[in-house]
Amino acid sequence: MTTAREKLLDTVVGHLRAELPLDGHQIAESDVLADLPDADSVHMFRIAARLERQFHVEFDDGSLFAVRTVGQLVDLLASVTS
Amino acid sequence: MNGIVEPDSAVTATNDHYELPVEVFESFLGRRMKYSCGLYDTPATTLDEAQEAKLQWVLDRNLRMTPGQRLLDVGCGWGSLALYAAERGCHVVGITPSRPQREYILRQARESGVDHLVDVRLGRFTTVDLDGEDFDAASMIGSIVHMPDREDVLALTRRRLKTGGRLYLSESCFRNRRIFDEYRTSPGFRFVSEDVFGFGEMVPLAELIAAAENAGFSIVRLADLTAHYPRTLEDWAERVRNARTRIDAVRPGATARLLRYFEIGATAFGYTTKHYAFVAEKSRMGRWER
Repeated sequence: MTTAREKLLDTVVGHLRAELPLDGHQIAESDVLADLPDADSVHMFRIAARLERQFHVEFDDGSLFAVRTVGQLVDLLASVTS
Repeated sequence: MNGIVEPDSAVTATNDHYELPVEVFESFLGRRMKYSCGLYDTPATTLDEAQEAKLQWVLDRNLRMTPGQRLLDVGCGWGSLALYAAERGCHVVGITPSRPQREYILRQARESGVDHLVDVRLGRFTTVDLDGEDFDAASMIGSIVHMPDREDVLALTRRRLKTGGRLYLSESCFRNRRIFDEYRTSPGFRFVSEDVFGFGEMVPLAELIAAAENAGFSIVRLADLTAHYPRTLEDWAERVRNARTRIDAVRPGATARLLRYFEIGATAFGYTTKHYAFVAEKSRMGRWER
């Protein structure tokens, strides 16, 4: 049984894989986004834009800029889609 | 960009970009050679249509210019607004520190038969001789970002305007002071402001408004044009990709740098940056518009 949070994690990971060269890289919730291969602020905003478009939401600036890990991004997404 | 930058140093640094061979810019800017965002009314609007719409919007709706009036275009680029205004019977004085830009504009003015209406002066704005001249309107389209002495520039612009004269100023801005503090030194922003443009001091809109107020202007209009810039950048990028061979033959590596700049810009708009236009008037009471 896949939980709603697991679905959001899959969605986030899907967008990360679409933006970053993550072939063979296992992504954990504790991974720091800035430490992922080739990650920079441009990629992070592109991923945020992908999520905002998909879910028709706009993240709060303060919350978005505070995100450091994959899990925190999932938490942020959960907070605006629940 | 840290520390104080002298205006002359900013001109030298910025010219390195704007004095790239004109063929590079001709390959992607579109028919009007306008190096700022267009206005995209529909999903099907083309780059040339968007730039034509923007020029009309600036001249008619914001500056309200009529034939015979005089326009001062500070940082006139390749003359898109100057030539557009001249084609509608306005007299234009453009200011640019770039010799290739000046020569390009004068050549275009001759070919369009409006050279008697177009004067382009070479140099940094605050050192160009405009004594005794006055203007009905002024424009600064994406140019003040290259001028560290912006308050002096705006004060001088106001002095050159007739009473009731209007300034149209558009610029990309950081979304707010907090984002400015956090991102002004980020690799992506420094690539655009320093590696591509040489000098670009992008600030929050509030700082540009404050500079205009300190210069004595009344702010009479404000427009958020952010949504139009990613489309413009995407159109430029498509043209650059199509002209890759020609661009890299003129300046090896230019294609990759331009595409990187467009990608960063398109991503940043809405998140860290905005693109605003405002109209400031030389009048104590301003002007209320329905």
